[in-house]
Amino acid sequence: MSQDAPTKDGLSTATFVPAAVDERIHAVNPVQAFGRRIREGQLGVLPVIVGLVVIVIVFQTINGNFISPSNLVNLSTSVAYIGMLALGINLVLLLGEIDLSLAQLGGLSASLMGVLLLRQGADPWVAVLAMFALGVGVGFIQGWFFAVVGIPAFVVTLAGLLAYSGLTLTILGTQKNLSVSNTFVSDLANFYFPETLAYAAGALIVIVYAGGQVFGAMRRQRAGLTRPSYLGIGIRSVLLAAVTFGFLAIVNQDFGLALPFAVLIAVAIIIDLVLRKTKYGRAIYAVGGNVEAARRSGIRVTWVRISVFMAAGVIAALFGLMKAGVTTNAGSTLVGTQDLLNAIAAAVIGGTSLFGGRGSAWAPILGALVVGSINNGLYLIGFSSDAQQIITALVLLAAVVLDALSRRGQRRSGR
Amino acid sequence: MTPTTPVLEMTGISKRFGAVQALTDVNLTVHAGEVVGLVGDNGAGKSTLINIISGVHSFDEGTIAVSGERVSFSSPQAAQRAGIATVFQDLSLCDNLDVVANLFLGQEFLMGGVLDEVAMEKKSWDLLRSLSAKIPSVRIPIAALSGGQRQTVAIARSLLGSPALVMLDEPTAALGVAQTAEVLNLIERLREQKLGVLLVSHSMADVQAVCDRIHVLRLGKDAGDFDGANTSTETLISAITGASDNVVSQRAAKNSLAGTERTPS
Repeated sequence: MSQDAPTKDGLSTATFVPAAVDERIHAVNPVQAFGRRIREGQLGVLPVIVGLVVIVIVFQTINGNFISPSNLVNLSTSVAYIGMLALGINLVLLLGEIDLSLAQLGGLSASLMGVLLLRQGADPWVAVLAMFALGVGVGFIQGWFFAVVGIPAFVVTLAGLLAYSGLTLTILGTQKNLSVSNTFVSDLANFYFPETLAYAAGALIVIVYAGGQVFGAMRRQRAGLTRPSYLGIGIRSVLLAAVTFGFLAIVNQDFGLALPFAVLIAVAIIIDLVLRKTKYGRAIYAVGGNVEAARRSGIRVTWVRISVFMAAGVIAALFGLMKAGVTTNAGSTLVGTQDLLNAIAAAVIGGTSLFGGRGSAWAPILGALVVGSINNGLYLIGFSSDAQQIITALVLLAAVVLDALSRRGQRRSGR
Repeated sequence: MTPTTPVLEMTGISKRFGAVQALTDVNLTVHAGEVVGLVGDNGAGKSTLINIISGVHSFDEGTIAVSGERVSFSSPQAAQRAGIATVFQDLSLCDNLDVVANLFLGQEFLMGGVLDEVAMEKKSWDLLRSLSAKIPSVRIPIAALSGGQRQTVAIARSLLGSPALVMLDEPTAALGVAQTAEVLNLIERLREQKLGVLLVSHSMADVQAVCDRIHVLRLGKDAGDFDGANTSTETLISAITGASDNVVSQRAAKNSLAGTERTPS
């Protein structure tokens, strides 16, 4: 085996050429490679980012208020709860399953918290603890029915969806409305970080990201593996910094960085690290990709499934807390089917596959930005909520079609 | 053959499923650096034998010894720990994960509780290079690999636990001519690494091409051990189908030249 494979064009800048290069694999120019990646749907987050930029440009030209500080703050809080629910659904989608009950579970836990807090006079900590316990418990029960009893997740969670909306009404009793304004819930949702703290947090994220990338590249180089180019790391870090500080600079002209949005980003970072860096995250992808292979590799499939439903339950409770705070409502009208559909749409638009095993923690965030921007922009232009729903549905359909086409593209090219 | 202790020695294995006697008194040995083919018609008991060796099924009678040590497995994991690696026909790979993730699935290298991707990638290259495997990149999903390359990854993964015996279940089924040749090369490289290889296949051509010895099963019983290189396809097929059992062919065999058959009984 020759160590020096032909390096005739500018493409092969890799410092490390594997000994075993298949002679049938030809070097292709970047344009061809890009075309192939489009057909096979291996573009990652690029399409959704392009889509987001187009949406922002369109709405900004029609209505100059779209990127205004006050609208961006408003958008960030609504994206926060859409994105939070989408993060929960995203985890279940990675397993190749679906959880239809999460929005209603969030509503139920918010109502439970509201009733405990306002009608029973419970301590805020007790109320919040109760709602998270409910999320974990319900997640465990649903996961158990799915993973141990073997009932399709679709059916289990559809039953859950109906049961939790009924339970919400039962808990609320005769008075179905429950306002949580002037409680700690709305105080939390209306908390805005001081300017300097927001900038410091943004700087920390950018520095840790860039530092981690450089550290990883150095380790790979020391081990004799191909390392990503420092130019690429630099470009990505600068882009991240530009987006972060651009966003912070605009919202700081108004109220500033809202707590719900900060929590969303924090939870997404945690989930991202768990998915990419731990054995458990790897197990989730493996179960979503091929259950039998995962089982033969010694992964405890049943436990992975149940624990993912439990995590989704916790996130659903967090979504309930957030939406109750932002809308100051913990009554029966807090959540509806459009919350669930928005969240599924967000995860799929962001690039998580409905067929399991493909996606990332950032997919639901990017998707929530798309869904939130469309709803917000259409509202600014003066569209009715009916039209907003129709357009969100069309975007969801387009995303699912893209997902299916990319799978077909992979199969057609013999992969 | 070699005077060393065989890596796998099965003696008098019998297995019964209810009313069906699946295996009766089966004897099979594999030495280090030896490729043994296991052939037989559908229903001959191949799958049962594979499942017993890989620890999926238990057996009723007989003994199994791995590298001279008597063992009994209660699970596939136990068989793996004892030094028997099985590459199942469906390969058990996750299409959505990359080559490194598949190789180390369930046995990832950790560094302070976090996946050590650098160490795993380095080990992946070492492993694939020791097999002279042709994989374009270890960071592309399995979905992007050809059938032969997937087989390579599955075999490479079986070598991670440093087994004594590698059992391959129909590794060339559904592969093209070139890819089949690649897999056969790979099997020869396993032999060079002094591993025992048990190759279960329907393809006479493949078995004859690489096997040192061919073990035939018929109706759950041993139907002979044949020399890999010097046995004709006709001899093998008659052993598989039992065509040599009837009077006509016995007379024909008596009259023609003696075959290379070395029947145990």
